[in-house]
Amino acid sequence: MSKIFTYKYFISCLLHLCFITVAWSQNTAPIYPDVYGLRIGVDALSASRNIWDKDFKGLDIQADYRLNKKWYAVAEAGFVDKWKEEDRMTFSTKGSYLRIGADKNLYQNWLDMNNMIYVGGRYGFSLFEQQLHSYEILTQGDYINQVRVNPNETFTGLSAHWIELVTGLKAEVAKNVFIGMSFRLHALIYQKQPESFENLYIPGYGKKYSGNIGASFNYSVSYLFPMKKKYEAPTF
Amino acid sequence: MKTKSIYIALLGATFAFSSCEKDDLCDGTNNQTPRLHIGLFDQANVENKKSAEYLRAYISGDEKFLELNNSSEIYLPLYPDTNETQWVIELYDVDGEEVNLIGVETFTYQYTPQVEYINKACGFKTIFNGFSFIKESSALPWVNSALLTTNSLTNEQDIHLQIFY
Repeated sequence: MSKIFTYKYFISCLLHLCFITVAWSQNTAPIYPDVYGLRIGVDALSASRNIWDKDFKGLDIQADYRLNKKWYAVAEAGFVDKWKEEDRMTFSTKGSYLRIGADKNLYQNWLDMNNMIYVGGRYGFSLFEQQLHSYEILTQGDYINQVRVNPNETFTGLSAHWIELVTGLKAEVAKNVFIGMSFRLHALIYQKQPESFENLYIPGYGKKYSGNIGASFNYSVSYLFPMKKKYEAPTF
Repeated sequence: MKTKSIYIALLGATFAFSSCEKDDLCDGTNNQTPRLHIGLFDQANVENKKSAEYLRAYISGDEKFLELNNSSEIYLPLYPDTNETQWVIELYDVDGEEVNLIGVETFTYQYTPQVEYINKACGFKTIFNGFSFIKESSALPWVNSALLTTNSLTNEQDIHLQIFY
């Protein structure tokens, strides 16, 4: 009985000691600086698609600039030239886009880590043109064969505005080199459509569904150009 | 605070996904290129429909034909990429197992096709504007007269052409 009691006392003391040690180390631990700078990257998924998808040409450049402890200003720009064959039509979309917004880092970094788990928002804007290469006229019955028409009609001066809700993460895999992924929900606010056709794909927004909501996923590779370091007491 | 924002984001994602629409199916039969809807009427009593026992219809020069049994309504497709389609309608008398040709009429339908976009899944359809017809002279006539009820074929719900015989 007394033996058990001794053990309990001993363990209790040990735990106390631990807490004291932790408390002490917190007060005197070296403070690691927050690195501020401009991070520039590409959407790896769309960049690689140039190689494996012959119907896609495009590039998406991403840049972010750290504003303070938690907030980053973000700008993403790119262009897309995409050819698409649907069941009843073949079309292509060509244009460029810009997305601007901000990310908030929710991740509490340890030591000198510089990772992010973030949520953010974007406003996106795209200017593009769409070309209708061919289509089938939907007829009833099979007495008359389906008619394929090749108008090669180009609809220019199309545009779209949308907002995005972004969640993602960025991890520093080597000094100043980051890989990241993000998941996005898009909500189309306004679009200028062709008169006798429809915007089926919007550069920077992606595939346009019949509704005004879309989603996308992307991987990025980026490099941080450090500009300054800020020493700030970590907040726990 | 941190967990709260993550929950909000997740909630937003769930909501947005549930409202994503599937749009890869073309459902509307009413949303296709209309066929010419012909109604057969009794020439003695023009208000009354009159069923034909057996009819054959084909586009001039075609081998294949549409068949119609005991019906007073015919649907004839039109070429959506030209300005006219010529249909031949043959009326038969049915006598037990035998069918005997008793009338042949040829109608030339003229129109201006107009292509309309439906949606991504269905693609495009044609409607026919400025619709008119010519009843060609026949060696074996069976139609007394014919009357158009509309000049533009946008759907096939209502009868476009009344044939009295």
